[in-house]
Amino acid sequence: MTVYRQLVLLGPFFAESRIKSTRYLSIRYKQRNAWSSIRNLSQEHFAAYHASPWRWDQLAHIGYETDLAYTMGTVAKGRPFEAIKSNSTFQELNGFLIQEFIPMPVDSVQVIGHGITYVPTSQTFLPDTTFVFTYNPHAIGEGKE
Amino acid sequence: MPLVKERNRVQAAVQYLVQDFNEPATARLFFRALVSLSFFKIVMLWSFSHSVMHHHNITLPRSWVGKIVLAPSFLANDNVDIFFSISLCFLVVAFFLRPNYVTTALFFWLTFNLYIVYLPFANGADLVLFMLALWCIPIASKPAFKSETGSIIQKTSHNAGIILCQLQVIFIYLVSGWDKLASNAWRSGDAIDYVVHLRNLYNPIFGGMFEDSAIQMALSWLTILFELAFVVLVWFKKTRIPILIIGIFFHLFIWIVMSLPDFALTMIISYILFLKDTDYHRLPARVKRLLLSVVCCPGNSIPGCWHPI
Repeated sequence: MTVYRQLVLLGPFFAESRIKSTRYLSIRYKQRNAWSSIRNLSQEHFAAYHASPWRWDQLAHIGYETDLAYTMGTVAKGRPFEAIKSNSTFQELNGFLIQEFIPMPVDSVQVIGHGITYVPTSQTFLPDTTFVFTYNPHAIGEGKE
Repeated sequence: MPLVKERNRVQAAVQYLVQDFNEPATARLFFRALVSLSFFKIVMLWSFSHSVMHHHNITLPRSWVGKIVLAPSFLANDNVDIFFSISLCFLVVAFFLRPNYVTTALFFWLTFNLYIVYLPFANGADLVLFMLALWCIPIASKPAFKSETGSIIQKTSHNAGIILCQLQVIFIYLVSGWDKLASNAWRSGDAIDYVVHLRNLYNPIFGGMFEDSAIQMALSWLTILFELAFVVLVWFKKTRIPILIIGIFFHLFIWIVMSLPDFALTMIISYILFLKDTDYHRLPARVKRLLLSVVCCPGNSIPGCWHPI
């Protein structure tokens, strides 16, 4: 029955619960004792897609980062960093950030998970920080074992 | 008298299913469009998938059936470049061959495994693609069965495959339309307000264009009405082509305004199966020539290969 629901009755697409809020990741890194400015990864890829609309891979980047932000938000809820650092999703995230965004060598990385919900009545955004990790990326695995 | 009418209706339905391969050229065009889309997506996402698979691990199922079904995914887990290279070679062959049971079954197997490989960043389009690929298996009409019973079964499965593909698309609109109708946010127009404030989705070029609550309400209800109307109107001769044209514009709008190109393209391709081979006669000559080269064996314009001409 579940398979039937998931595969035959695809959707609903653009359901209310899926469009009310979104998740994204931001990072910064410490190099030679100075923190870089904060980078909003999804916004960078979104801008890159709209500059070159044939670059569907930029949208895949956003999808992947949103997925990592959701999963890490769930995994990290109420748990200390020591319990998180051996988590496979966190190591995958660390490996991905090192490969794609962080210019080595760095001393530390700060990765922040954000949730943002739009409120139509007040036309405001409700921001929510789902996790903040500051760590040495070399001390953490890079996923895939 | 009503009983005779009912019997005639049943007979007509049975005849429709068993007598001939319905819309063979349209079915071929549909299959080739899906193959082309899969090819295009692999080319577009190869480099990014390579980065993701460097860190992302696909877990091996315990059962032997699972291991066989997901074997291509595990090849991708070990070396995504080999997986994509083999996939592209297969898709080229599948495009040039007439759809047969081997290529359509392999195509479904591939799209399912592509969905698994793309899973960390997949969207609704990947799910729709592999479900449409599943219903393509019975649509194949080669190799032709020689016995009379075999031929009837083959024609029936081809025709049923087309109907199942159409129903798949219909259910997508029905489920989405029904869900929106039941949602306060969609009925009030707030849903469009949510969408235009999704920072990673809404095209900034249209900033401020859909902020007015009356426009949002109108867009919201137009979406609901289109999705529910499609379910009905696509079956009637007079409304079929108009609702498909509206649908194409609807999905192009989603593509441009909401930055969802692959979903839009997948849905537009799915419309091919609602066309009839005879619709071909209505097209301009240039488009006919282009379609002929896609549907018939490329480089070999066989007269009459678009049936009926």
